[in-house]
Amino acid sequence: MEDFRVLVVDDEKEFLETIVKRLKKRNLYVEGAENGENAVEMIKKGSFDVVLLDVKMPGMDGVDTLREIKKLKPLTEVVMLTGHASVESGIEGMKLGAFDYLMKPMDFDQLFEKLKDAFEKKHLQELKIEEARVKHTMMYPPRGWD
Amino acid sequence: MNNKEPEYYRALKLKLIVITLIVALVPLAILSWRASLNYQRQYKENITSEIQRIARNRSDVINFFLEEQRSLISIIIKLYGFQHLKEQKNLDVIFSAVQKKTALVDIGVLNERGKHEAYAGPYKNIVFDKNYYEEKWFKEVMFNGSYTSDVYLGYRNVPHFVVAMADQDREWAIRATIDSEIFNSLLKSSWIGESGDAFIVNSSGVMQTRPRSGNSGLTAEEKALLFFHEGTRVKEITAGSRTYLYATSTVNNSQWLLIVKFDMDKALASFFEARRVERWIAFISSLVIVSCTLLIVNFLVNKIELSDRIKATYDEQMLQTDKMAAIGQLAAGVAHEVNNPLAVINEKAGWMQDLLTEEDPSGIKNYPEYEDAVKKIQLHVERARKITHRLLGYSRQVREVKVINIVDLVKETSLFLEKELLYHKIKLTTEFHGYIPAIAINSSEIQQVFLNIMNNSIDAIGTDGTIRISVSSDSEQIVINFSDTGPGIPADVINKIFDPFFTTKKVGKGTGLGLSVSYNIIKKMGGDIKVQSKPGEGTVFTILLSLKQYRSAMNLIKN
Repeated sequence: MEDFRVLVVDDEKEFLETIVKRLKKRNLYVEGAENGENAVEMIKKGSFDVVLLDVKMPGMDGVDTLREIKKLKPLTEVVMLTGHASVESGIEGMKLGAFDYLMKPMDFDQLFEKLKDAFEKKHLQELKIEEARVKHTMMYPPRGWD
Repeated sequence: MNNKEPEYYRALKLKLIVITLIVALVPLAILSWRASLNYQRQYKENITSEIQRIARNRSDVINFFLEEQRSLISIIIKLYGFQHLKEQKNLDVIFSAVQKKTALVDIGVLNERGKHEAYAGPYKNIVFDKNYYEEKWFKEVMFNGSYTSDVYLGYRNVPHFVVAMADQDREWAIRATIDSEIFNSLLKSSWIGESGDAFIVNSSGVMQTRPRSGNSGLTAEEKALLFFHEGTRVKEITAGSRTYLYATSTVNNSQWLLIVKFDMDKALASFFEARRVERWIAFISSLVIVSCTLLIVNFLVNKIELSDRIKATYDEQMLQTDKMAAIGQLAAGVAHEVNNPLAVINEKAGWMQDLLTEEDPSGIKNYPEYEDAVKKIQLHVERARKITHRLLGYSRQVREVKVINIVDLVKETSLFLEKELLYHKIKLTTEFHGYIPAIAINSSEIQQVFLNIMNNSIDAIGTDGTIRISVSSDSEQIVINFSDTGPGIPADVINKIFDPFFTTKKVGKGTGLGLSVSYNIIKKMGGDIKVQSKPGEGTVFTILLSLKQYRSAMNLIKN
């Protein structure tokens, strides 16, 4: 199984730390961000395959952060986490292009599977893009080949 | 909240009907009673004056006739004198001259000793030799100068009377018999109506003319009329069950009494006929008033009941909305406060579990205990999670279309009613036939429809029964059947059950909106809802959800 890069965003520090530790233990590259703004900064700098994003956060909330992430890195998959009556936000997130959403407290194995699926999707999409690019190149080869 | 019972509306109806009828019928009754009374009085007055007029008129005619006879005799006496008249041939000449023009039957000339000097008329051999000297009337004539007898039937059985007059010196007299048949014909024309009568009696009540009744004298009650007076009088006499009106007038110098009799009851018959018609009219108009009142009151009170029901529904809905909002807020708050710490607990326990896998079980004395404790923590977090999630599911009023499977929704709704079903001893069976595709649908709305139908089934069954839900699907649609073992819906109301505010429950108990709302929800979704019911065999509600309708919605959600 390939490792992939995960960014966990949650304002609940205890939760964030533990999730990061647990995912790291499963041989993923994981980083944590305590709010939306930090997360956006980190997305800009680093390259993450999947973002685990809490919906309800002070300041920039999950939905806004998701919008920003999709703007910066459209291929990055986002799994939303909702802790309360924000199921609607989760659904809205899905409309905005989130991969899926989970309700807190969630089953860790389920979470892990979701993240893997998300990565799988991203990976497949990247492959498709690569394939398309190759096809394109083959159909319209660079001038240098003439 | 409106909890007005049917009795309230019945009482209201009664009150309105009574008040309206009193206001409408009492004046009508008084009016018709007064009119009838007035009419009766008027009628009586008319009859009285009419009969009075007749009596006066007839007495005038009769007096005039009598006066004429008397003056004829008096003229004969003064004109011819005793010496001329005692000659038989002279009297014959005079008699034959006047007889044709008058009612004179015979005429005799009497000397002072009451003996005939001469006689002209048909009864010469019978009366000529009679001596009247000792007769009472002869004495009266010789004393007073004139005499008029009562009417009697003579030898010819013809009514007649005698008029006798003496000369100025009372030395001789003329006696004339006068046919009184003329009275009968005169009075006959005064018989009013079918039983009216008119006749003349003398001072002791003996008939002087032939009355219609054929009686020879007056009845005991009529004797009271024998009271001689000036002018005409009207008197009402009741004999037995009949009432008669009498007009009396004296004739022949108060010697006789003219009586005009009028049968009040017979005469009033036409009045009673008119009154009968009037009473029918009053009765029919009362009937119209009563039925109109009943119709109007019924219509009004039904309107009031409906508007009360609508108001009650709105009140109830408002209350329900407020309640649901409050519960929703509370539930969301609880979920918010509880789910986050639960998530932390869950992850911490998970982390411990992760770490334990790195440990050497033999190096830690209570390793199995730790492992067990962590598992238990996770198990109970899961338990708590279920509670908070159900709370969220209950409180949320999502108007969002979601991809769901009807099977899950049916199960969830059944869980919702578990307690209720148990309480009513109703068995719920669910059948899912084959593959049921998930559809994109407003799950809270469709759940509301399921709840409405099942609640109705529970109400219909009461206790002990079965509700069967079956879900099946083909390529076109999903079919959801709810059948119950309730009493069924009568044929006359089955067409109304989807009407808003139609309910068989009491006001305040049922809103009459459940099935109406359900119908609208299903129709809005492009589906269909049908009902089949046979009294005694239960009811089947069928919901058809077209799959075609939902594919586009599902695509929308997925992308």
